[in-house]
Amino acid sequence: MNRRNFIQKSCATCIGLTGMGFLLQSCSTSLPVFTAQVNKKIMTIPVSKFQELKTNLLLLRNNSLEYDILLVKNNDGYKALSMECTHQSASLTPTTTKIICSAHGSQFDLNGNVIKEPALTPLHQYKTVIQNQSITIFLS
Amino acid sequence: MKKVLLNAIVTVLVSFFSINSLQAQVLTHEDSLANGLISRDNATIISGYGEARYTYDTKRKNAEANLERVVLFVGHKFNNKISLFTELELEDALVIGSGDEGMKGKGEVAMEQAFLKFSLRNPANYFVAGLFIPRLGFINENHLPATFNGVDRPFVEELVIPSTWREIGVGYFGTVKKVPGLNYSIALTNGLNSQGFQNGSGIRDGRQLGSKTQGTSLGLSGSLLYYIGNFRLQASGYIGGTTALEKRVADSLLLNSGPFGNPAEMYEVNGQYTHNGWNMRALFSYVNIPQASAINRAFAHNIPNSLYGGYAELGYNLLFHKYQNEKELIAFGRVEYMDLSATLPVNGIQNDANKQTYIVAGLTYKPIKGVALKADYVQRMTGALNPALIITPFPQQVPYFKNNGFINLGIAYNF
Repeated sequence: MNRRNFIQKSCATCIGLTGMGFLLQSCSTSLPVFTAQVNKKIMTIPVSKFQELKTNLLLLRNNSLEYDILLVKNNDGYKALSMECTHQSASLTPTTTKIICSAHGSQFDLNGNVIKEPALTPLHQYKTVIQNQSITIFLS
Repeated sequence: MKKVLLNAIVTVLVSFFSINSLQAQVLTHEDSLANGLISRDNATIISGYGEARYTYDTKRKNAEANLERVVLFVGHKFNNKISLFTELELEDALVIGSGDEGMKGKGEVAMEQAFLKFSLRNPANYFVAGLFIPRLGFINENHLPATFNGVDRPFVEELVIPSTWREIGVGYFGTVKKVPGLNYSIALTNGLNSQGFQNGSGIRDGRQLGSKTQGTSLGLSGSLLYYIGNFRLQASGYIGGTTALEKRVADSLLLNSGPFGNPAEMYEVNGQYTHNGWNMRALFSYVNIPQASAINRAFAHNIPNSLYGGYAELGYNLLFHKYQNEKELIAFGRVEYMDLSATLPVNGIQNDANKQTYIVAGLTYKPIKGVALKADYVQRMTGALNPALIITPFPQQVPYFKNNGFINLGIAYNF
């Protein structure tokens, strides 16, 4: 293989991969970020937020928290996952299908389970309770 | 007497750790998660990784066993916004200058990372300052040995992209709010040292690695990293000055000095697809040294104007449908090609041994997460070594094999 061919083939492969990625996921949208209030280590979010924002994933943020919390609505109820990577505590980036760590490449599913190392343990999950049309997340 | 002394030492140690525990909690990840203490200030985290290998050279009929590296990670959180990350690495078991029972060490101790991280309001956006690894290439950041296939890191990511490439500087790592999964980074670090560039290893030996870096040269790098569906896509680039000398000396050697004097550039794209036990990855990287002739005139290391390389890897987890990712047996194959002297300056000498093809095939077995047992075979094919480059040939010089095979066995862990 000569140099010109090699460069052409390598570039074509990478551009192809990029193109396929964009094509397959072109409908991707940003996750809504909700600034939630925290009172005595309890965070409360109205259930209606999910309907209002037409989403099953809500990223919760508060200045007193080091990491965001991803609130996932599924058939079993609500899961509140800490966006702290269990490998080296880097902040995680959630997408519509998985949660990723851009620092070292760990990946988690939307239940917090590891699907790709180097992280070895699942994401920390906070206890949630539904009370009066609100989702209460216990941070302690 | 010995017992008394032992008791005293134990008492002192217990007291020391008791006092320190008032100020900082030393935790493993599992402890920290189980106790929910990670969100507290002044928490210290310990982690690490390591790898050992055995290699048999099929042409020379020789073998080597080596404890490649043991790395200890210590992180400390000062508060919710400021953290420290350090990685201390011991390579090849015994360092140069030390020895035991007549053995001489050949390894080295190095800080692989030591930086402060300053998180912003969105914790996925942060600054780093200190000795850190800019996002260039795949393995450079993701070099934990239990996470890649093969006993060796991809050769392209050692010789074209000089992993692990860390320098002192500042960097910003961010995410694009509107596009989940899209990350970017920009970093300003000290530059390279062209005096270290060697024919056949690209810019690798020009890294300064945070050890009393010289000169006023700077390195500017940036990257885009996009996780989209089952793809991980990245493009990154680097440009940096390479004159690590004070101006007076640089002038006398007719080298440009200053932040981007006699620059080196590196560009790289890579993509990875992971789904249903399959993993595919491809990477291409190109390095340009426009003023290689001036560097050769000063240091006579026969460096090229440009070099490039790329690889493609395909792997499949044979246990995926039975154990998902809890237990893995990955069969993989990788093809790599690089030309480490693709174009030469007028004062450069061609060496076809720099045109290298590697075919790697093997197995990675992970009985649990964090532990990998590896076995592979590497076939290395190169062009002929230019005999004109050997100035004083040794009468009993070992012949250069253009085609050689290596059998590798390895173990790796990270926690």
